[in-house]
Amino acid sequence: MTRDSRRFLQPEAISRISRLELQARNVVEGFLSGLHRSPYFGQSVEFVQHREYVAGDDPRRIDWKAWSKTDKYYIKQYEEDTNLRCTLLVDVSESMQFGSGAAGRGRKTASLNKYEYACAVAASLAYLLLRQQDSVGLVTFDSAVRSVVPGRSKRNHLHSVLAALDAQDPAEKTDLYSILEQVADQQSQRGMIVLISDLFVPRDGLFKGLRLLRHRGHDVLLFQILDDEELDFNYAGTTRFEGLEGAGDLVCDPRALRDGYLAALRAFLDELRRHCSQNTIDFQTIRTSEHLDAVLAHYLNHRVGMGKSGRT
Amino acid sequence: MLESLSSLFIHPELVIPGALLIAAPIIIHFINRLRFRRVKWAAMEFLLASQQRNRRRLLLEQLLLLLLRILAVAGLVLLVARPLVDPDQFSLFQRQKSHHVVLIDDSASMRDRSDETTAFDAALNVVRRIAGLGERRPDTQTLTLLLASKPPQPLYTQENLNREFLARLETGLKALRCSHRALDLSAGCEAGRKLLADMPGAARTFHLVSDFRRHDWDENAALASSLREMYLDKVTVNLVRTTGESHSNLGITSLTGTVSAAAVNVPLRLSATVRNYGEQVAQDVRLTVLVDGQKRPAIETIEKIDPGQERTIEFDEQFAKTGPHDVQVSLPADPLDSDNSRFLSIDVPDTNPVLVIDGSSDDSEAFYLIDALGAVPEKTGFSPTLDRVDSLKRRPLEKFRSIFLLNVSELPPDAVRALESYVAAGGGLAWFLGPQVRAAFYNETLYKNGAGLFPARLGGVADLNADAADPSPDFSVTKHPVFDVFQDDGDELLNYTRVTHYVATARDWAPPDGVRVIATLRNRSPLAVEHRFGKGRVVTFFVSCGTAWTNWPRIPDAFVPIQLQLATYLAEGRQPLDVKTVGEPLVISLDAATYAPQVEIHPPDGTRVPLTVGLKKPATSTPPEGAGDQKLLYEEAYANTDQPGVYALVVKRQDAGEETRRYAYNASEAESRLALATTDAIKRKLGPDVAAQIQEVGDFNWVRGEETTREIHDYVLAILLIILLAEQAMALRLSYHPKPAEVQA
Repeated sequence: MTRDSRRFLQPEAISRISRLELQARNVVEGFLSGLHRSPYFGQSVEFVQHREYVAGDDPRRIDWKAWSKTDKYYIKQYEEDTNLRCTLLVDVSESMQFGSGAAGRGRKTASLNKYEYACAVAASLAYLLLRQQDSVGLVTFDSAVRSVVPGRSKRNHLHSVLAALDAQDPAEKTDLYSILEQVADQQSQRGMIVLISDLFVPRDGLFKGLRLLRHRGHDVLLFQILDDEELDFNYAGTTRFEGLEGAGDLVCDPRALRDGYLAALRAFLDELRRHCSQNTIDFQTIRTSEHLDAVLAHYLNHRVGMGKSGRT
Repeated sequence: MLESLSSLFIHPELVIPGALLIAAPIIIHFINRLRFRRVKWAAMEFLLASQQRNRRRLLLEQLLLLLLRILAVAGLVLLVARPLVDPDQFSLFQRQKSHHVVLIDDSASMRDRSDETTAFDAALNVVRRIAGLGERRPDTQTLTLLLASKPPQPLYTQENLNREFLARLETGLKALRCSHRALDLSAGCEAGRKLLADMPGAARTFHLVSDFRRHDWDENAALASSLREMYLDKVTVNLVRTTGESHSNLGITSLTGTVSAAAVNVPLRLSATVRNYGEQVAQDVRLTVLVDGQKRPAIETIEKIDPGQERTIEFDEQFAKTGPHDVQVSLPADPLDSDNSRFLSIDVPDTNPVLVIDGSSDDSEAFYLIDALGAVPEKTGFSPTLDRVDSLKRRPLEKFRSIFLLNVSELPPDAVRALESYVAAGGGLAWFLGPQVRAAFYNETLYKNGAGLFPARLGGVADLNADAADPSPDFSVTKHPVFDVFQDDGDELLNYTRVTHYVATARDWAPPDGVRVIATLRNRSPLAVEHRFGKGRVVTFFVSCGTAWTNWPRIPDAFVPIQLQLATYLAEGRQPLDVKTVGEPLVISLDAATYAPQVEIHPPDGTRVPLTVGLKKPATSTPPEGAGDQKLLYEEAYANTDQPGVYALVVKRQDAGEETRRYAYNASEAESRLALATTDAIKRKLGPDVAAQIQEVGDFNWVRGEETTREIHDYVLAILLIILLAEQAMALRLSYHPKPAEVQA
């Protein structure tokens, strides 16, 4: 773990979310190995049933005793003691580089830009999951997948995750559907997909990708990272807005456009929230000025609440 | 360009720079578009959506705001450039000319000085403003200029207002001087009214440019009447003030003295009266006296003069040489200079000749009188001549200051006529009776039922019945200049004076109007009476001048001063104090047999004005009785007496000799009152039916049909305010101003 990469691990955030470990166990299926039964089949000691061998099955799993009796190939199936397989999808496109920066105008501290904030969220979650010996993988993307860190549950795997986060140099335009499709294809087993992005992408592709992930049985968590100015739009005076990711330029008086901008943003967020709700996706909008620990604590509490209320 | 704009704006020179200023909001708009900050922005989708949705509205609002700002600048430019809307230009009569008749009040009160300018200077500036119309709209208006001092002679009559005339006018105005005279503004108004009545035109305006003193309106009903008539004749009456406040003012209202008794080296008592016309107490008022232009070392000081009050101081002046002497009394400078000096010219003789006619055979009646008047002529200033009754026929009486008739029994008819002529022309006559007086003659020839030289019908000689036990004086006196010696501490002298006999008036005689009893005997019978005959004064004593009937002549302290006072008093009729007021014509009347028609006048400014006096046509009517033979006269009235001071008239005799006569001219007391008439008071005087415009000092908005100008000025101001309010509202709506909650945050 390089010194730079550690910057994504905020001690306050780690400290606070660590206290939530026990609650987190309730959140994540297979939080600790053997704690409870997994709905997934795998290699284990507790036999469940036989299944007739089909081409492609691992020959090592053939029950030779059954073959000797029945002269047919059967495969023994056991209840699997699984860990959580979590894949963190972090948007590193150019739009994530936006950050209004300095303290002031109601902001208590100087805030991170969206990319930095997203990395901090991802690092914190990775740390938490690895500490619980869950499997954590990482995919960073912009217009295409930029880096992939396969899922591991070893503690020293955090170094690989952080290194992958730090190594990005975002520049390209976001295209989310192809990314999500690619990730879905790569995840042979169902798991948790955590998407961290500003979601300033074409909506059709976004919604289509999210539906795909859900269709594949993944539990999808959506963290939308937005800057204060993006949410409040408190600019004044003639300003030239230069669109990131080639969205064009606009010279205007921001006050004249503020109401329309906020209405359009609100409509987008409502649509996003509605879509996530329909597809049982956890959706959370986070301001970069908010304290990360508070945000994560609040979110995990929320998840705990949802788990107790009967969520499988 | 400017010329064409000048008909539309009061300040056309500001229009072009102002028009350039209108571009300022546009330039500022573009500069703001170029001066922007850059922000790299992720959420462009929503911003572009907002911009797309609001583009048309924003464009319209921005254009509207820009338009409002341009209009605001244009409004400001108009406000400064002062646009004009002249209804005449839209009227059917626009080809007809507008006439302005301006009457300038050039009375002495217009010399009222405030800072470095006078009310008269302000009046000339008003004329310049009015004439300025010609520069902007040449040949559309005419100007007639009148001076209140010369109403029948306009300085300019119906002159077209154009550049050429303006140059002439400026030269003329520079040469104008304010007079020192009291003037009747109503005469000027009447002259203006007549001029306007003959002027056809679309608009006729009468401008009265004056200081509008209270007395101009309170004491002159004709002024308001004349203005009212003009208004009813559809003339616009415009009253323009040239001074805004009443200044305090001290003025010398009189300078007088017994100049008829003046003589070389005889102290002459002069008195000067100073009036405080202001509203504050004047203290330590110092008067400077100049004799023949030489400042007298002593300065007379009046400690205090209350507002509206006057104080008189007396001082003695002595002249070492015979001939004319000029006395000038001056006050320190104050806002009005005209009344700060007063002038007196005195012709001082060696002595004043007095003729004494004694009817007694031994001249006993005249003994004490001659002694009293002429014992020391260089001290008394009188040189008495004693003579008989018949000398009245022979002597030219005109050379005597006064004539005393003592104990005259009767007078020959030609002597009576000579005396009547003498007194009627201003000579002084004193009667003293005595034992020889024939009452019947006096009653018949001299009294003539009240029409003669003698004031009363006589009875006979009477005893006063002296009562040794009665301590009261035998006679008492009234307040009269002759008896000044008894006024203060002289009462005691009366106690020593005894009268044994007197000539009583007839029982049926009572003092008629014009006859005043100035001293009475203990028994209430008249002792002395005074009356006038023609221009002359006659004082009659019903006792003797000798010691036959009274011991009065033997008491010098009681007798001598009274005779001297009597001689002085009688002489004043002969040579009354000639007080002339500036503007009053100097009437030159010369006997053609003695004088040449060529004269020269020396006004106070040091110039010399040669004049040839015309021969007066002899009157065709019969000369009045006693007027003497009709003489052939050179007669002329010299009217240019505007300057206060002493005017010298040098006349040449036929024998090539020269005489100089001097006349003192002083400013009118009326012009010293500087209290202003209020606007309300003027309106009251004009009456409710007269809508005259009354312009305050320094306000020139009315110039050029300027009421209209003012109205459009107000309209521009109102519209500008509306535009500015709309601009603010629009700017707020466009969020160019932070909302209150945001400001608080």
